[in-house]
Amino acid sequence: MAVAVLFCSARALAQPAPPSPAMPPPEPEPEPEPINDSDGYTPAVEGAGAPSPLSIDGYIDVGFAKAQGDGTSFAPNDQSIPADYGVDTFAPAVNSRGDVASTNSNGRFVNGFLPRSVGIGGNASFLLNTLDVDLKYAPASAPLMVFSRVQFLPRFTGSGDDTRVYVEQAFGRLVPFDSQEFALSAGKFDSVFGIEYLDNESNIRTGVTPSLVARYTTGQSIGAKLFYRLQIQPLQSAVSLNVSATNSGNLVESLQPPDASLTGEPVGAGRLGYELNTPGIQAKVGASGMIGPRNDQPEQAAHQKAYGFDLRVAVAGVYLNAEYVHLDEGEGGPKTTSLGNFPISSTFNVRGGYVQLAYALPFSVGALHKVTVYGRYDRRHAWFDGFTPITVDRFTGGVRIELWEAIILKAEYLDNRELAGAPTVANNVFTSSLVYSW
Amino acid sequence: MGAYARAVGSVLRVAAFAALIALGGCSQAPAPPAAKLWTLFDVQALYTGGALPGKAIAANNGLLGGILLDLILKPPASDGSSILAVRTAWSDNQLVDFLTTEVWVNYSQVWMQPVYVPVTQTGVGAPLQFLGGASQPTPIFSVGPASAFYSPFLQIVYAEVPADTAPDALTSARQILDGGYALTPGEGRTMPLVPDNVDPPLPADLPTDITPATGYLDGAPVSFFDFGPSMFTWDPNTNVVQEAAIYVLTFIGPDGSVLASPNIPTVLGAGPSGSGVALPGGAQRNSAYYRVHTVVMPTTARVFVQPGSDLDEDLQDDDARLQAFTGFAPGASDLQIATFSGRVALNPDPDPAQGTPGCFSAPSLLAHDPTNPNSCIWLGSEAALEANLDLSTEETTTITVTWEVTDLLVPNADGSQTAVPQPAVPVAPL
Repeated sequence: MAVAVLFCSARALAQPAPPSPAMPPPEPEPEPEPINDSDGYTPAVEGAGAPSPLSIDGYIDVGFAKAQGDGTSFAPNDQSIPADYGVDTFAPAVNSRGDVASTNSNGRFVNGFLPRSVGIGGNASFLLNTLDVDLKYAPASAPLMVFSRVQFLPRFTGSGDDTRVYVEQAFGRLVPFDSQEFALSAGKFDSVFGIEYLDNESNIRTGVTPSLVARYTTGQSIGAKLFYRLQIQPLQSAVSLNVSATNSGNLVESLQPPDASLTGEPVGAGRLGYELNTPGIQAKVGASGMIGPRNDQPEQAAHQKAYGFDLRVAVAGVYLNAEYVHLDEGEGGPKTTSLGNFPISSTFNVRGGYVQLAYALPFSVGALHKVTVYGRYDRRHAWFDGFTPITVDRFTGGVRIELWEAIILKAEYLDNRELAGAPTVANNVFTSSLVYSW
Repeated sequence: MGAYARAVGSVLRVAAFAALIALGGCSQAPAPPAAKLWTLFDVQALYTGGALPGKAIAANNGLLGGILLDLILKPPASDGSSILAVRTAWSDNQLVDFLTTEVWVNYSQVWMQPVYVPVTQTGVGAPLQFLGGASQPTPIFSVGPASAFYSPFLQIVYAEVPADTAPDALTSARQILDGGYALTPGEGRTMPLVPDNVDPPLPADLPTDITPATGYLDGAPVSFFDFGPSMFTWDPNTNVVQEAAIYVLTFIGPDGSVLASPNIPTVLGAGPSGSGVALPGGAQRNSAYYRVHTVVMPTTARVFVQPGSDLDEDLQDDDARLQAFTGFAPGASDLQIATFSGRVALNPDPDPAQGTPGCFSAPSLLAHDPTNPNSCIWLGSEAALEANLDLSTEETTTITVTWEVTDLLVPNADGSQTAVPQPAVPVAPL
């Protein structure tokens, strides 16, 4: 039963039960988790009345955003090269994918340390951030689930409109032992590092934008994954292990392409977690690691190594999420990312993390189901060899309103600051997101 | 289904799944070569790590033997200090001295980086000055030598700061960019960063006055050499430094092997239009950024070498087979020896078929005379190579270098050479 509850929690935020005004505040909801999180799997009931093995879900994320300046983090007077080495190009994010308002360097050479861009510069603009279509097939006759997530991403490129079709996930998951929370997955799936990947999709994420370290931990990749969880009922606890071997590890696709191994050697990653699930409090802590060749270049000897720690606590409607990431990448050969080819993969190091606090106010007033206010503090210290180390931070504050069971309205403000190394630049962002789920 | 059957079935499922995953193995396309930059810091570190002077870098990038460490930096003294190595090359048929400060491999291009020079104006209409009234600036570099994007090719960017700014108040690029100062881009200068204990060549070897100077990088002092302006040009749209060619002359031995020696002076190509300044004596100091090309010499070509000379011994040490490709004009004067030693002649030997005597047959034929077909045709310039050789044998390497030409070597009648230094062009406020 606990397995089923946890598994179904993926839709918890989208489908809250409206509380009665006369009743005491509800117990904290389980942490929202995407469908592919390896929380185990229970085959559906066979026979008449059993749900269809095929389900089609998805969401539409419509945004409105305005970034300061020209929508980038590039300082207008800075001519050092590459333009993306001495600033944080990911800072002016506008949506849950981490896309930024702009990456236009005005002709200055860049070397592939870039996010995706929505191409709005400093203009206020409506956006269609994501059209997401999820297909899930779970036959009653086999302990297998097949899942695909295809996304349509309309973007302005600077030279016209372009809609990219992106296969974010496509995997099969097998639960071979009926009595165990043990699952094997193969295909393209979410990261196993840390916890922020659980919030990748905008219909699940509390806020609008990812943290300043999400680029290192939330990427999908192709490979194989093993999940095992051991319930310790007397202690109301569980211990879980999630490990994977993939083409590219956990970095987002704009930094390392996941669709092929460029080195011929997989990247290993894993997370060891502990959960405490009591009626009054839920707490999860974990330690993650990643090691293997960096997949933005061809040399096996060019390694990337990362470790991190995470914490989630939910009590009385208050949600605390925190994560720390430590990543080192060695120098390698010519760089290739999903954004193109670049001449050099430089030695790179980063340490950073975030703390997010959210408070969910339950409502039952007409269509209004829940209001969540949240704040997050991010900090990132990073350096490329030979370049000035930069330290940046960000304060994010926002509100999330859930209407009926299928609409989420979110708005937030990002206060980006360059604390050291990087030149100060106007790159704060107001952004919002209207998410329809089905 | 019994427990045993269920267990076996589960194991088979896992095994089948694992097999499917294992099928993901595949062959890989050959990896493209990695870009690599060696600065003076890297060369010094190699010595510190125990490398011998004869160790080659860029050894597998199209240049036979690569580039030896002691052709860049002399072996360190007991106190760890080192001196830059002086080499010679032909520039428009004139011998020049040059230094090597960087070697790149597999870089299709390198970029100019900004360097900031704070200047002040003490009053309305008053001339701009360096901070503290100094005669020379303390420039602020933005990219360090550990970066793959480090460059000795810099654009001076003048930052006009308040007159009361303390000389040591501004030490980082961030301070300049955050200060909101008026920034004015100026000239390009070649200013490689150098380790504190690396010195220019001794004056006896190189009379050019290369004064070690100090700037700032990320708030800390850093040493550099200023070789002045007019040693490179760049694309203003991309800041890519334009490259010139250097030609390494090679010979093919009887067994078909390629023979080469760093003691045969290379030929410097003309720099990009707009680069270079005229040196005293008329030579052109060309580019400081070169790509290495190799050119196979015709079988008739010979290096002019006086038997028993230092050059003769050096070539013997490098590869004794090269002696077959040397020649000398008996009776040549000391001035002629100083003028032509190390230069390659296309027509040194008699050619019975053409009925020519060969230009090494008499000292009077050594100087090229356009009206005398028997005089030497020297391959001491890019123009001469293009005019006299089938350059289909030319091969472009993946090696580029910073070669700072410092002096023109003018031969004297007694066989000595006088080094004429480059014109000193100090940084001047706008």
